[in-house]
Amino acid sequence: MRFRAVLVDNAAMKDFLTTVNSLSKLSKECVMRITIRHVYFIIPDDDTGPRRPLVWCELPVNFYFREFNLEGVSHEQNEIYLGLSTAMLLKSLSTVKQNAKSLKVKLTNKQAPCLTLEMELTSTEGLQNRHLVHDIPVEVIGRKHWGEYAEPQFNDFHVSMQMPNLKPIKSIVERMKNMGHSLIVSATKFGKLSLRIKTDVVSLTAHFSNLGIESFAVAHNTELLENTNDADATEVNSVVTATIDIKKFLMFLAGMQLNNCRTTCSIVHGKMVKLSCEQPGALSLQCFFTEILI
Amino acid sequence: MDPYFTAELTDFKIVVNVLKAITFKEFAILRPMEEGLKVTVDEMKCVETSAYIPHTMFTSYHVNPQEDIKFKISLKVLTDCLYIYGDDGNPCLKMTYKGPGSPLSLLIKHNDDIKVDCKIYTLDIKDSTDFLSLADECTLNKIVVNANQFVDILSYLDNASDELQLDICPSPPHLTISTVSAMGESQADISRNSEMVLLFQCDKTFSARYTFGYIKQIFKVMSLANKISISTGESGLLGLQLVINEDTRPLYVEYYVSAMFESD
Repeated sequence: MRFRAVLVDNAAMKDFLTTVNSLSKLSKECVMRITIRHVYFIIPDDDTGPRRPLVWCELPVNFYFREFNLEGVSHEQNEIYLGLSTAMLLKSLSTVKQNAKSLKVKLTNKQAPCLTLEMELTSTEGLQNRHLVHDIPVEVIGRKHWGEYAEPQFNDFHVSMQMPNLKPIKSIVERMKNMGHSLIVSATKFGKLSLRIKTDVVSLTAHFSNLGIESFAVAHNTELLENTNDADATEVNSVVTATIDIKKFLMFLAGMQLNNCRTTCSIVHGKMVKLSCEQPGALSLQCFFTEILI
Repeated sequence: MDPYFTAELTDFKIVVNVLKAITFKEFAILRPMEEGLKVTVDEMKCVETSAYIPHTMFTSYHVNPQEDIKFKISLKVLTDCLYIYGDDGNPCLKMTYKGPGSPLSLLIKHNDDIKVDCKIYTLDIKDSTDFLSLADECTLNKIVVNANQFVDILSYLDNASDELQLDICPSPPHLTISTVSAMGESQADISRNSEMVLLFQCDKTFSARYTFGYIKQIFKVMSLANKISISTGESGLLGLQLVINEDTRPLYVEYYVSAMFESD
């Protein structure tokens, strides 16, 4: 296994840093999957029985790296999976905020497997350039565990809509968290998103209207369709709802410090909510929130 | 049927801050009266704090005059709901209470695209707690002081102390606040001629001790206030009336605490 990549563009380095910063807000540990075309950061969901990703972040190689050499475990499976601490990665990377000329990312073996970051910093006082090396211990994940980090595939979303500005949502959800544990997310085909919380003392709904609908599947609620008359069925079928863990949702909102990102919310009725952030060509980050049972 | 109580309010940041500062207990009693809305929190019947929002503060205010309206509500939830947008923007609020058994409905609008709709369930007040007018009890002495300086003085006192003693006397040193703890003693004397004292009425010497912990509760509100009026009653009851936001749209907080029993 060999891996060596070089970043020379300072803007790309800073983007890389921002992404890692967001990830570190979401979890202490993550899995870095390196393939020929993409570098992925995957955060597994600890709560579910079979491990499933909670966060799936995809970075295209050609946007960030000028040189990229990868020799995976085998010719057929040209990939590497590394488990590492997001906090350590963030701390090591944060030096690129000063004017770094280049950043090399390498997989090395220094007593234990390490992800080595080599930075060359230009000095402002006309002195010699500085050279900085960070070794982050990593765990190489064996092939038999790769299945746990497979990309979640969902094609059956009942609704996909654009999210409004995340800042007001964040403060609303923060207050909601003080009141209860589960958040009911629902969307209508008329571009209305609502976040609701219901407890013994309070029932609170935040409505966001005039949002762009990307897709809406009708007739998702087939059982109800058979039992009710047409007018009711249309009513029922115009709303898609899922109940999720409010803490995880808030974690996503608080962690997202990515600017000029387009955020989309997709819902599978009664099953899950997916939030995805996209910066075309540079980044795609998806968060999966599964339905909780009350 | 007409709802018992409806009101609209804009620019209510100060109201939220005051309500937050008096959230010592989970539940509070709300009493919409013709003159304004009164929110009361009491603790073990020995401390009572009320925030009083005059009807002039609301953009629209209506109560059913035939009814004596009062209900219990979770104050924590109410303040969280009112603070739902954080410090962002300038939301407007509409409150409705239909009558006994109905929730208190709040509609808080941020702008045309974002609004929060909220129903806080209310509890009826079963025991006929007759609201004694504690203001009538506190007639012995009256001192009005500047809030800022008074808060400073209280914060200089020994924080570790459990008790606070208040002495009011017609002759110097006029007003004395003292604490005693294992760490030592602290004492502040305030003369009636001090520039922080705006009014000093005292005919009879008064002395009583209070649980410092209870007095500390009100510190947060005091720091929002402009003026504080201190009055005392025969039984040792201490009343503080705080005026907040004096210059623009005033808002009042009343605080009553009963004296500790002397152990000897």
